[in-house]
Parts: sequence; structure tokens; C-alpha cells
Amino acid sequence: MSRDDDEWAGWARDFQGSAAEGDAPTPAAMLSRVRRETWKQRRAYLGEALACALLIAFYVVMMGRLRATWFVVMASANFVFAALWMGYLTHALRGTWSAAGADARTFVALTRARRAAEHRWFRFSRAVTAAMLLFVAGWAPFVLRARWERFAAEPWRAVVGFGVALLIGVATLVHQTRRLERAERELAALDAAAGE
Amino acid sequence: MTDVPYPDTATLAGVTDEERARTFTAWMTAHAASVRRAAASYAHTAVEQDDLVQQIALALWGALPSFRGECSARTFVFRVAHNQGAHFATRERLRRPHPDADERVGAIADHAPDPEAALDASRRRERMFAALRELPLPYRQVLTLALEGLGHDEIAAVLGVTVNNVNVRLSRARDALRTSLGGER
Repeated sequence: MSRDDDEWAGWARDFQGSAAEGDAPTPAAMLSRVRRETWKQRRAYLGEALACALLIAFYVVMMGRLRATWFVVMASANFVFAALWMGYLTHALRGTWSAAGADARTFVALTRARRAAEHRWFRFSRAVTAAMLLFVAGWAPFVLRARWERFAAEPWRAVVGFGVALLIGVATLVHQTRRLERAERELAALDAAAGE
Repeated sequence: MTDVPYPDTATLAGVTDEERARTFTAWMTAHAASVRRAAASYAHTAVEQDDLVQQIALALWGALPSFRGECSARTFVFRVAHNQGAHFATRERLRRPHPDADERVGAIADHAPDPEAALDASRRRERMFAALRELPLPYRQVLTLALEGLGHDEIAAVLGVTVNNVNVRLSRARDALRTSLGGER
């Protein structure tokens, strides 16, 4: 055997020895992996539910202290918002919580369903953020007029207050747009790959 | 590596869903290790490799009805795997030119019983895959397929190039890998 042959045999041995049985991507193993992702999805769902619960708790506590009509209206709007938010999330994730079978078709279908759910959710959350930004933009002149004397005396309050709100809103919108575009790309790649 | 007899040379156009699923399971199971190695030659981290394997599996599922029995099942699976790998590599190169070295560690698992030998072998394999991933795509593809044990005509069929082209690429790829590994062996 020549030196080149020895070298090649060594490379081939190293290369072919790299995938042990436990790593083999059999359809059953891949389906199992997709099923494990269910836990990740559950955590994310519970995180959203917790955020909504905290929002509702905050307004309930504050309603006990501030009994002004405007605050009750705002709190009620937030309750509706939290219900819509969780309702749509639940709707978007329907059919993605568990695998209906244990075969290749289930693996393909569940993977596709999860990517489609992500896409629906990012589209919805971006639309909500845009709507909230528009609402705040429409509301801002009234706030400015109501607190004009204070803002005139201390302009930094207006700059910080409106500036931070604008920054958070725009950053959230940009982030959600990027996530939506990524979800669209992934879904398109998945559809192209799976020939659906 | 042995090729899969089922159904191999028969066309899969118009087969039932059950037949498609059975073929998919048989082919993925038979070529599982090769698919994993192909993914490791394109993706750096274990997570990325898992994602790529998933992508390859989905692509294979989609491509099955286009199988006309004009090549072996192995050639067909490798063609799908390397096409997906090439897409992945192109996308990743744009997204992240140089991954962290730490992320690479442990990407290729090893289950040998002797810990010292396992560590040594694991390092050697990791070096090899790291070197492979640094090679230009045409060299990487031809090398990984040759290291899998495919003949030059089969590599040509997988990559859609001539056998002469495979010979030239393979010769240059071996030189490049040798240089990358520090001229050892």
C-alpha cells in the first residue's frame, strides 16, 4: 500500500467513524426530536400567558386605587387586548401540540404546521405593534396639550417620555419584521424542500 | 456501506402515500449515518447539523415522487443531501462567516469505549471535519462523497458533473485537505 493509500485509508476511517448509531437521523429519531420541541413551545406559550396575567393583575390592583372613568376604560381595553392576544396565540398554535402518528408523514406534517404557526403569529404580533404605535401617535398630541405647562418648563420630560416610547415601539416593530421575514423564508424553503 | 434494495430501481412516481412513507423510512434508516456525516461537513454546530438533517429529510420526502429508478437509492439520497447542504452552506456563509471555535467542539459525537482513545479519535475527527468545512464547496462535496466510499462515476452522478471533472476535483481536494491538516499522515 502506498503512502497516499495509507493517508486516504486513515481519512476514510476518521470520516466514517464519526457518526455513531445513537446519532443516526432515522425518521423515528427525527419525529422524536420534533416532539421534544413541544416543550419549547409550551414554555413560550406559558411565558405569554404569564405576561398577560401580570398585565391583568396590574390593572386590577390599580383599579382598586384609581377609580377614574378613563382608567377603567383603559384597563378594560387591556383586558380585551390580553384576551385577544392569548386567543389568537392559541388559535395560531392549533394542531401543533402533538404528533398525530409516528411515521414519516406525521414528521413532515408537524414540522410544516409549526413553521406555519410561527409565521401566523409573527404576522399577527407585528400588526398589533403597528396598531399600538398608531394609537400612541394619535394619543400623543392630547398628552402633550394636557401637560404642556410641565413640558414647557422641563422639556427633557417630553423628550425622554416620547423618545423612549418611540424607540421601544420602533425597535419592536423592526425586530418583529425581521422575525416575520425569517419565518417566511423558512416556510418557503420548507415547502420547496418538501415539494408541497 | 451496502446499498438499499428497496425499491431502488423502481420508479416512485404515482406511488401511494403508504409506499412513499415506507420508502422514505427505509432509505433514511439505511443512509442515516451518511446523511449525518454530510450534514457535519456543511454545518458547524450540533444544533445546526440537526436542523440540516431535518431539512434533508424533508427534501428527500418531497423528492421521492421524482425518483425514476435511473440511479441507485444511495445516489439519489446523496444528491438530495448535498444539494441541501450546498444551499445551507451558501446561506450560512452570508449569515455568519466564522463561527466560534467553541461551538464546534462536540459537534461530532463519539461513543468509543476507551475514553483516551475516544478523545484522541474525537479530536482527529473534529479536525478533519473542521478542515473539510473550510474547503471550497466543490472540493468539499467531492471529498466527502469519496470518503463515503462512492466510486467516481457515482460521485459524478450525485453532483451532475463528468467523471473527468471528479478526478480533477478530487486530486485538488486531497491536496487542499492535506495542506489544511498540516501535511500530516
